[in-house]
Amino acid sequence: MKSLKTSFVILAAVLITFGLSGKAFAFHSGGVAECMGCHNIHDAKPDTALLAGSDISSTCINCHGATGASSYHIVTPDADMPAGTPPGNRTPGGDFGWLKKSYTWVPRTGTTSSEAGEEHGHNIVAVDFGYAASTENTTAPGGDMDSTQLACNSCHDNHGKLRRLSGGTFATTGAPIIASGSYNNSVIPAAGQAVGAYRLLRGTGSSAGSGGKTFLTIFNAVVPSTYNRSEATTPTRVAYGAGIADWCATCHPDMHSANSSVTHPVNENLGSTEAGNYNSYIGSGNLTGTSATSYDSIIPFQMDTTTDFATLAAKAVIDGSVSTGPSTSDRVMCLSCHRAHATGFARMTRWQNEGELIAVDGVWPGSDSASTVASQAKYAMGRTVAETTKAYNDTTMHYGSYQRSLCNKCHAKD
Amino acid sequence: MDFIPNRIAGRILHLAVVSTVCLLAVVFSPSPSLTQVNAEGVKASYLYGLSDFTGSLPYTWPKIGLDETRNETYVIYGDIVRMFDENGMEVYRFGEDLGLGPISDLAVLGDGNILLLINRLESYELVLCDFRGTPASKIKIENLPPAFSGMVPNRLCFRQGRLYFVDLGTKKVVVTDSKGIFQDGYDLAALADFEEKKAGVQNDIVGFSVDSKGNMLFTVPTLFRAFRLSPDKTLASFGSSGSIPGKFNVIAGIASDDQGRIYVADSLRSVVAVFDKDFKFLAELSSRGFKPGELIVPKEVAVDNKGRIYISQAAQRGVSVFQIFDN
Repeated sequence: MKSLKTSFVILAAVLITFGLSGKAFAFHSGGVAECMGCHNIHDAKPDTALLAGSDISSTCINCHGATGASSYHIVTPDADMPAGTPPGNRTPGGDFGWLKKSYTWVPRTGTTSSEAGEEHGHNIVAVDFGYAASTENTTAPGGDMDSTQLACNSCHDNHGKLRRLSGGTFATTGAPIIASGSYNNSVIPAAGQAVGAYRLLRGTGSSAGSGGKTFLTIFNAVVPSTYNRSEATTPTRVAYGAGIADWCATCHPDMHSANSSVTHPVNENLGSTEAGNYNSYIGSGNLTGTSATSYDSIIPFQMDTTTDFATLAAKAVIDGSVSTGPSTSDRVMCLSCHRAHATGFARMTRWQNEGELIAVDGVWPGSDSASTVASQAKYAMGRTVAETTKAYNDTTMHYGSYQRSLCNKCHAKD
Repeated sequence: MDFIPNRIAGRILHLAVVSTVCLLAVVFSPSPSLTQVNAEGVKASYLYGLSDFTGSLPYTWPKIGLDETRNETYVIYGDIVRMFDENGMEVYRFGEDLGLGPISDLAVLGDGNILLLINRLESYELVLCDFRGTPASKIKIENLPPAFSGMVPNRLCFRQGRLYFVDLGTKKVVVTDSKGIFQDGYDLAALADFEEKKAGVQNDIVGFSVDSKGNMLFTVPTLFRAFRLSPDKTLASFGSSGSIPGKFNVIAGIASDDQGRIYVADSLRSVVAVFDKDFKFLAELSSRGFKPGELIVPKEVAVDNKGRIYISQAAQRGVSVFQIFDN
């Protein structure tokens, strides 16, 4: 595990799902929120930009640190996740609470394995809530950004100046923001109007946040208006468009295949082989699927270089009405394998990638499983069934009865 | 359950030791300092943080329950319930060996039994325990009308023989008798005519309590407003955004004392604002800081019938207790 820790490469991922309501509008409303929601105008401590938290991320978690009740909750409080209980939020970006979930198990007699919580995601610094910089990565993997500077506003523009204008172009001024532009039911801005950029994410033209990195591309995506939800019945399909991997590369440049020959390709067309595998893959040993129903929210893909909002919005659903898999021109991105905030697995991967089998005996593993196979420590890896299941956003185990890594969704080596 | 006799004996011994220690502490410690004074009729002094023999509770945003009949305070954190005497020292704990899962809230019933609310997001359980925390049975809310059948409560209050179950997400409240038989239901979002109905905004309830007269108090931070719903379903609200005393930044817990004064935690400014029963601003308790008597991101508040206010905080600062005085 330790050797893997030092040699394994974390692909870049982004902080995406922050601060927006599950409905059409929210507190931020696509742009700068009410000043008093974050700033203490007349009684702030010095050196805090009139913020009232100990740091920027603590100020954010002040509102976003809760479980379940609303989509904008992305940090489960410690009090709600005792040992064996997973973080409760299921947003596409993941719950930062996974950073607090460390695991220890004995895969075989005399051998103890462990997995620190900090391996599960982006280690934002939020002192008030016990979130600290990574002790493993002093700089961003594949980059030089100081890890102690990582905060919510490294990726999100807390003031939300970036906007999508009526013609579909992005700018930091030019028309007032009338609402969020993140959702499949977001309003289309008329002439003289604008909507906010996806998730208030930074992009071309917006200033640098904590960590000092300036983004040179736009993160094009659309999310269903309700998304902090169980995926047991139907998936939450986020439509990712152009720019995802390039955007992540702002802080993780050497993780981008354009800059390195030793990392997994990103922002490259799947091509006929990988797209074909994706569409036919159902699970280990089962390649009988079709493109009409092959979409899997655990392994999303980028819709080629799409920037058109309407095209993306048509794919962003939660009712299962759009289940089509990728075409050959669709692309692999960082978020195909990683979540933006955090996951239940090491390297913030979307699935358990630290062992041979992610499901056994037809079920998700867990130390408390009724299956004598699935409860074995080498499969459970310190987790309860509830924790494993929640790490897959409650997705029903629908793969092979002895399922191997979901790398095989595109590569079909199993 | 063969460990119960040991628990009882341990608890008695624990109580004796704690009482002695606390008596000595009171005798030999300096008087608590006043943290905030206001000429409008209320002031408060910091007493202590809820503690065990290792120091103050190192918890972030624990939940608080009060048993005013027995002068005991409960702190809920994860799957553990810790009980404190009137001097703020832990005297008992239970839960972690029961395998119940995350305990969201509790209510100490009139007979001393404890009702635990276990919330698993899509489902919940109500576990009735004896005073030692030993599970005795599970109860269900009976005769629930269809309009409330889908709610999954994550808050629980007990006042004057009635249980209040609150689903902060759907903003619905069900009131039952102490056995869980439905008596009344409230759709707070509909009653309050939240702006979300007009603009699609999702406004969460964060703070909720019931005062001694049966009024429901709740806060909606995104609206910068606090509400009081009387038993006859008359709704009143107060508050507006701002960062001067008496205004709201990001509000959270809310509670009332026997005089009808209302206490509202402001998480962003790290203070607790005090209003009279007519919503007139009276005072602000404490200020942001890491020293004893200061607050870091307060969340829950509770007030007992001895005029003590309990405030849960972030940054692993547990629960601070203040004594409220009339000025």
